[in-house]
Amino acid sequence: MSARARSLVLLAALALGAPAEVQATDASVSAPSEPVNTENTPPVELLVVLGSREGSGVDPQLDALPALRKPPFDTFTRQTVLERSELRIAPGDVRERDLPNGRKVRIALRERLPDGKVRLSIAIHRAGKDDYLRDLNLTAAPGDWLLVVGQKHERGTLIVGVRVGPRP
Amino acid sequence: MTSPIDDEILQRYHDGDLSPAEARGLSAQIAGDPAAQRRLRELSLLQSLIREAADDASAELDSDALFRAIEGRLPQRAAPSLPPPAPANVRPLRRRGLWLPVLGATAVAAATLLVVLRSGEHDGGAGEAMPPQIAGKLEALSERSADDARLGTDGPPNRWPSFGGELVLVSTAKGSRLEHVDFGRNTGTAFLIEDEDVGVTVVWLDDEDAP
Repeated sequence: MSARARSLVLLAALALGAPAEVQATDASVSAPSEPVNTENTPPVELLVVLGSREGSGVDPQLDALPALRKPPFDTFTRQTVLERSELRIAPGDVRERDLPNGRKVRIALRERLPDGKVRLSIAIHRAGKDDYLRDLNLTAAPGDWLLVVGQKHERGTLIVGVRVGPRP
Repeated sequence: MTSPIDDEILQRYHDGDLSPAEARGLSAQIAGDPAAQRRLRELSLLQSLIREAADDASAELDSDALFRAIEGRLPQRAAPSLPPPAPANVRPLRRRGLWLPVLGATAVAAATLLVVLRSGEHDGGAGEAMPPQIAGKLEALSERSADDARLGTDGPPNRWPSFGGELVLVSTAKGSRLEHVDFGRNTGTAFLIEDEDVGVTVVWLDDEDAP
């Protein structure tokens, strides 16, 4: 789907009854108006880390993600968790979150597979622009991480992590 | 009479990619098809051979040096003057196949380069000079890629190779799989880190239009 088409879907979803007041940090493109059926909505963890070569210290919250202590991430001598949250996304739903650099990360759950994996689509961009990650499709096994790395922010680099499944 | 089993389906069955229902159905079909059984044995043998070769290659791979070079290179690239992205820039990732053991085994050894691509750029000679030792590593990998991913086949050996804008597949041990990435105008790489029981798929994307 093109960015323009996605924008139209977003506008249509908002026009058709999405909440008028959308929290600044949690915009659900197709926000459910009924109670969330958690059986059909696997938790999706969103992690935003600022990696920097200035200073030192790794946030203890990242202990559970040792990959960030290995190359090439060990070049970030300072790693700070900026956000860690859990989203509930039903198949067919799209969620958006603001990132600290002004972009938005958009996560769509395309399909839930019988073996527990889910198919996700992820995009990162400024409003109305396709200026970073246009589209990424991933079949995600519970517990595995996807890290999208490279956005510039405050003299550092953003690490955006997405993981399906409850927190360990 | 049942129809012959498609190679791709058989490969997916071999790789454990089919749903349980599909696998059960195919298993029954294979049980009555000696030719399919033979092809399945050949796939297993081929995968073993490739895995052995990949193990040898990964043992020699200096992944730290490789990634230092990658990471050091991305921010240094001059902002491109590329035309607006065209649909042709969108390249689907390859399906899981015989490639996987090569990449998987190498990735298990450490975080491992799979691809570096610049969307829409196919010149093969672009980029700054690559340290000879890294060029050698990539050459070794490219030999194992045959003509599949076109690693470094059309550029000078001391340059970062062209990948034809095409990604090969990364898949974790648990089966997370990168299917498709549209990098737009940016330069990116995708690789895999197997970390104890957690697979980490990394998409590292330069930020040429930072807000």
